Amino acid sequence: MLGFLLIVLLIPYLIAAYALLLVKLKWGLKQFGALIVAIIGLLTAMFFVEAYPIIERDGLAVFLEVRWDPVRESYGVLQALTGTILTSAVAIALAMPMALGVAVTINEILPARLRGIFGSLVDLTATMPTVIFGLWGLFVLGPFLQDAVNFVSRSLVGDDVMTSPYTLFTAGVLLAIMITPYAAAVIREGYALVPKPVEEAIYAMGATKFEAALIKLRYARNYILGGFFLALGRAMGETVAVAMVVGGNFSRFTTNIFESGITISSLIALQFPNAAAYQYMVPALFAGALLLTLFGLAINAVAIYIIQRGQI
Amino acid sequence: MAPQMFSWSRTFHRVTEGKIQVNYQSIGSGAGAAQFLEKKLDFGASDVPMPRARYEQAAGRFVQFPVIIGSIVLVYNLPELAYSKTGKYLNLTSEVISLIYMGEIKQWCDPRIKALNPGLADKLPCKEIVAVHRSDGSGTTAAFTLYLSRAYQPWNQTVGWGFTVNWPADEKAKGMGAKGNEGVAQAVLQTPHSIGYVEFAYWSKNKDKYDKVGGVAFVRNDNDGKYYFPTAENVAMGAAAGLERYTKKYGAKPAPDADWNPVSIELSNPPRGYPILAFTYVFLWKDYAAEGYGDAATKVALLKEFFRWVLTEGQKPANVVEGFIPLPPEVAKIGLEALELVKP
Repeated sequence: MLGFLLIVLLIPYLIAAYALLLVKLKWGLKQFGALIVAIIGLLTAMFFVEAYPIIERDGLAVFLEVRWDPVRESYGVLQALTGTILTSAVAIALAMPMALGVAVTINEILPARLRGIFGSLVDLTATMPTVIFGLWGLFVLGPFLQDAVNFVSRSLVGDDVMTSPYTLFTAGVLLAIMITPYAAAVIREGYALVPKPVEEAIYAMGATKFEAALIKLRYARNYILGGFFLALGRAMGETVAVAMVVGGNFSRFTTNIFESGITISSLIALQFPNAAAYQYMVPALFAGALLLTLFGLAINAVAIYIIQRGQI
Repeated sequence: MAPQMFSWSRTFHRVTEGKIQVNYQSIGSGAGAAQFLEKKLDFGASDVPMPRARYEQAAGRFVQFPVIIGSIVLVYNLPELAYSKTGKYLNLTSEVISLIYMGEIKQWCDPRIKALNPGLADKLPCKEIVAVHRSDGSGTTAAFTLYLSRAYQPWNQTVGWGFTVNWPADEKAKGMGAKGNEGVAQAVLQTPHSIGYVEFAYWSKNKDKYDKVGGVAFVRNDNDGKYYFPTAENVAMGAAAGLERYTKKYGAKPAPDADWNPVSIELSNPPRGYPILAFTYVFLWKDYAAEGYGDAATKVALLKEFFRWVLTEGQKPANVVEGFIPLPPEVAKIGLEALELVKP
């Protein structure tokens, strides 16, 4: 299957590369664009083919039910989808303000000499291996969050709400820290591209530095949206770090972010190594991958719609 | 099992003066068995015997034999009765362990836990138990759940055993998963009022840390009614007793090309000794040339040399990683006989 896909994709790739370099630039670029669409389509088709045995057996139940019982060959991935949505939501909610803050700080507040250094440092955190973030989450962030959340909850509701250091919330906060540099990099570039005359006009209107920053952010809103979706994609797909701190609870449907849970990508990472020992686990994991892909495509469709409707 | 294989392959590389390099990767027991059968690997190693369905696919064409014994311990985090404060470890039984992971025993002050620990009864806190289990599929989970299935009938009916199971405590109580032995070990150290199961080595290396926040449990062998601490002697006693039971039941020692699932079942919850233990197995083809391996003669010679060393020199205390138990000589002999079945 994979070998076949490789050949199917390699041929158009070579034709496109040939066209791009030797025949006509525009044709080649178009073909590469089409190739990307074809790759996504073929991947989705492959997920469907691999997941087909369990879809054939259980129908759509595999997407709509909550269970993970390999002993009885009974699988459902809904809890993993809600886990992905909840951790990504926490991550985005925390990361976007941080990313905006980083972008404005670098462009407005820091002295020019330090901008480059600070910017490179932020970019550097994006290159850190995710397993390092995972270990940090395991040893430092998880226990710290548990203490902090329980300290607050004891004074608010009189009880501990976070009984373990490894929860959906821990994963969300860790993801927020991991995706901030991605969003920040895009927003920072957009912010820096605000034309000088526009900036001068803003100040000429008597805007304070804070108001100017707000107006410039509004000007760069397409970049903010781009950063948002890039970061969201990273958050939804992150595997290793999340698998280490999410709490690995496969069989409970929960919407309480302070409980342990699971995400689709961490479920795949955790269960794949021994999945071959079961008849339907590999198809069930591919069903999870298919669900995540379709969900990602749906989000991107919404994004494209929003961007096109709100053309500046 | 990975630490022991790495250590053997390193030592063997040294004793052969760098001539022979055994490349072992820890990819998971299920994947190891599957890739061995797909002939992507020269040999496979697994914490469980070849599963029955897969065994039947290749029955008679390959051999499996134990190379080392591992044991699983229950570690807990209970600051109120940490070993460093009380000088005592908890007593547990298969029934209580099962009920905790089934979400039926929810609090540490449950009368069923108190009854096993009269000396600590007044100190057991009325806090909810966080039951930590593996979130990845693992041979450790398979051995642990096999023990519970064997020792406590209701567990067998409601949960069963395997690389991954559906933990009722996840739904009914405060169940939680962690990745790898190291993840469970860390989660228990970090989470007050938690309990978890790990390979022996992951406790023994961090013994002092556990003693500060809790400790490791004595486990009752339900067959002789005694509580056993997970020492090397008690685990070895369990292995010998389990094998004795197998031989009595089936009339002979297991053969290398037989299905070893009955052996792992008899070994679990043995008549005496520490009850949570398992063999680690190695799989070899009987005829590498016929299975389509290239350069079969050289490969077989190297594999035989390595495993002969593992089953003899490798079993000496200096070559066994702390936490693993060397094979009794009569079990090592089964492996040596298995090597004879591999065609040169």
